[in-house]
Amino acid sequence: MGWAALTGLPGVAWLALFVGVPVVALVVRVVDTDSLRVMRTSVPWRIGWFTLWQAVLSAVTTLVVALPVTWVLARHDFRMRRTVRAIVVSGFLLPSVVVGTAFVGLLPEGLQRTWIAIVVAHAWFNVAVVLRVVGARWERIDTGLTDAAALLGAAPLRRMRTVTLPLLAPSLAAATSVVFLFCFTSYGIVRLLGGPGRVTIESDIALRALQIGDIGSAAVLAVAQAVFLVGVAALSTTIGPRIVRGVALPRIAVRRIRIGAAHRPWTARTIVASTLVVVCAPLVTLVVGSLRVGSAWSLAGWRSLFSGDPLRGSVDVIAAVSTSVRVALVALVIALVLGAFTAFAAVHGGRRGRFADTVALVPLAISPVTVGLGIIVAFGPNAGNLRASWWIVPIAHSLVALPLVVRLLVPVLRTVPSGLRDAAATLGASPWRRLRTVDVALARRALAGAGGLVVAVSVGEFGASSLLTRRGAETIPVAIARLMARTGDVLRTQAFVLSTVLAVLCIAAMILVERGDAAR
Amino acid sequence: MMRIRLVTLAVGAALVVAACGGSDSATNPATGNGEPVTLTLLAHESFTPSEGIFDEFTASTGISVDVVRSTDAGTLVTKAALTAGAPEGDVLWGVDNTLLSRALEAGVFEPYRSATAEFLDVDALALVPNDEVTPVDTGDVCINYDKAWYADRNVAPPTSLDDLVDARYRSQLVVPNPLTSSPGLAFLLASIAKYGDDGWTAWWEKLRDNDVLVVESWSDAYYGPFSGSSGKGDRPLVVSYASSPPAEVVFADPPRDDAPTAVIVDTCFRQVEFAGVLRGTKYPDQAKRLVDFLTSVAFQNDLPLTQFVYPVHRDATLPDVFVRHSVRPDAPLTLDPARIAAGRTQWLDTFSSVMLR
Repeated sequence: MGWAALTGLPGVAWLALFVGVPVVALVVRVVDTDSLRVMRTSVPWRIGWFTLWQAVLSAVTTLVVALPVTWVLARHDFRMRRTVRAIVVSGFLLPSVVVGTAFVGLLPEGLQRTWIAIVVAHAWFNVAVVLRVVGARWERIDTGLTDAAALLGAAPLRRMRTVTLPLLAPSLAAATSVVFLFCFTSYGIVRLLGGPGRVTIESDIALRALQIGDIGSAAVLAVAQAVFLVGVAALSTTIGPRIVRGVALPRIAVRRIRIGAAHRPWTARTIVASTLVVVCAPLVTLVVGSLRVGSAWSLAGWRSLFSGDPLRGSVDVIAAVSTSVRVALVALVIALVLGAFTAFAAVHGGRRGRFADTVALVPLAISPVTVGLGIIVAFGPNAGNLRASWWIVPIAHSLVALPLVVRLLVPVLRTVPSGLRDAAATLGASPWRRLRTVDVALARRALAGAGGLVVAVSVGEFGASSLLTRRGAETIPVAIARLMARTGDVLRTQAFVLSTVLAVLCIAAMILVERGDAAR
Repeated sequence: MMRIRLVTLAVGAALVVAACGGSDSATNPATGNGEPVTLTLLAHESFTPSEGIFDEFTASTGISVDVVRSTDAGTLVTKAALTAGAPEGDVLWGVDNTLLSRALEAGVFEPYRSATAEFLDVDALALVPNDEVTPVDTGDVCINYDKAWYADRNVAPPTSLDDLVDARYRSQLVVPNPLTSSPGLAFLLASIAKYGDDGWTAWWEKLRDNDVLVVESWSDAYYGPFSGSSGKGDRPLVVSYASSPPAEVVFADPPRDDAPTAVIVDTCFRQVEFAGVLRGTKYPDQAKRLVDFLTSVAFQNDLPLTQFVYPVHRDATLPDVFVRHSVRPDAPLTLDPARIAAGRTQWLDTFSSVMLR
């Protein structure tokens, strides 16, 4: 299918223009032989090692924390099921500035500024990824399979090992690799929770570029990190499918057990309850923070939000929310369209298609600070002054979100039985019609999930936004960071108010998505 | 099919809202003669003058001002250095004496001697003999202490940098990381100004052994481990500003008359902020008039209560709350910008190997 590889072109071109050009422009502008010296010191190895092990540990911890609740939500039915799902997923939508601040208020003094704090926050943050990616597949595993195994005498653990896990494997691999990449390049949480001595490659890049002014070394480190991660990613996209064979799962009428009628109802209930406590604790600290000014309880933060008379140095909350929504919608359209094309190329486009798939991973591997600075260098007055345009922020968000869309769609498209497409062709359907009635129809749910993730990434993105945002176009995380950095109890309280508003919005949006899912 | 139509609708809606967003995007002023000019003033987050402060300037000159903020001064200078010659704006506000060397090395500014120069703080002006930039405000980074904490325990607060390494004040100080925080860097420079190239590392080692806590940013320190502000912290000493006590009064809710914190004068390091015309601006003449306005009495009078810094214009007046709750050290610690330029990276490296390993 020669034309299928071509569908990979738009995504590759978009990334070449908005990641490739800026990074090359930046490297050309700032890197000289002097800045290469950083690679000969022990710095990259020391911080690289810490970055690697904390990312691996974080990814494993995330899986351990997320799988029980994913199991309960995929297999059981109870009254608040959709609400619980929405609440658990909403954590992922919060910007790391907010998550970090919430954890600072929550963790005991002894755990603050330790690697444990980083790992805990990473796990909390990424539970949603596992829940969405693995949960979507778990729901489609026919309970008849496990029932049959049980009938044949397989114990629960054995059923899990021989039936469920092999069927889950592709989604487990996808979720783990995404979480690993997130934790590897995490910046806000590492900065806020790790303390000054704990530096990851990503935070070192930002430190050098923005604070120390050694942009050359920063660019060298950014390129080194990207090469390493793309290498890992390329390895996983070529070897991955060979080890983890995707098995087509038919769409089945989901059969969930009423939680009361389950084999061990209290195990499931305990899992849900404890997960909710863990997920909600940081959210509660946000609400508490929004109700305190200094050391006293006060509604001043909320009052200032609704009064027409803004505080000096405060931000326009309504404007920030509306900017975030508009930016997210544009990023959604770009990332979803390009992501769908790229995923199609990856599955049906042969070797060239898989190349597009690998290229689409680059934004996860390259630091947003580097891309942001690169855009400022590359798209100045000689290039339409795009850096000063409103569009540059949603464009940057589309770059960050694109790899996630592709990651989510590829496994789903891969399991679309090719027989269906052939049958459609035999019946005379044009390629476009086959795409629409077979692939799109079967991937609809995954498309919706990917869309939700794009919105989440866009609403929470901070690194690139903070470099590119112009006046009157600040998104919610930028506004929160601005408030956090100012003197004055009321302004700080307002930051918590805005964080609470954001959390509530995210939960509401997720509940709506879940409802829409159910109504279909 | 319903789904397809919904998607189309969503795409359409997104494009419409984006188009609306696009229309009020950043200015792209026309270059023709006689056209009204809009200048872009680049600044950091803490640049928060009164609403409408530029109206008077616009009315008298026909020049509008659009303020674009970066998150912090370090980021602001990094972006300016990267775009030297093809700047993102016309005038830059907020490069201070600790960062100035970075901007000057990159050739960010077009030299200009402000028309107001003869009225400005002489010491601040002397920092830039070649007039690349013009001083706009000053402030002092000092150790602040929690008055109630020491009063409750009947202990005298420390009075000098020497005291901070004394065992009596063990586990009491929290400082922001000089690598990531501008007051943190100022405090590091204070120790270098006080103890010299040979003595400052030894002092920090003693400070480390006295259980100083280094955190990421000023706000992490002030609102976290510090006990004197809204945080629940248990450390009564923090690196902050000489103007933090009046800020506590101004922003207090419910209102209060006295500040909960005070300043240790002998630990203060003078920060001077500058503004300058960006090299490569399309409107150098208008940009110069804006620099004049930023150093005029009208603008300078607005600074203390909006940004908690001191004006540099000698005829500017200080508000009462400043006079009552803030101190102005007569002989603050300072370092020559050229010396900062030469030593900065090396000092930061040494600091991280002493304190952060």
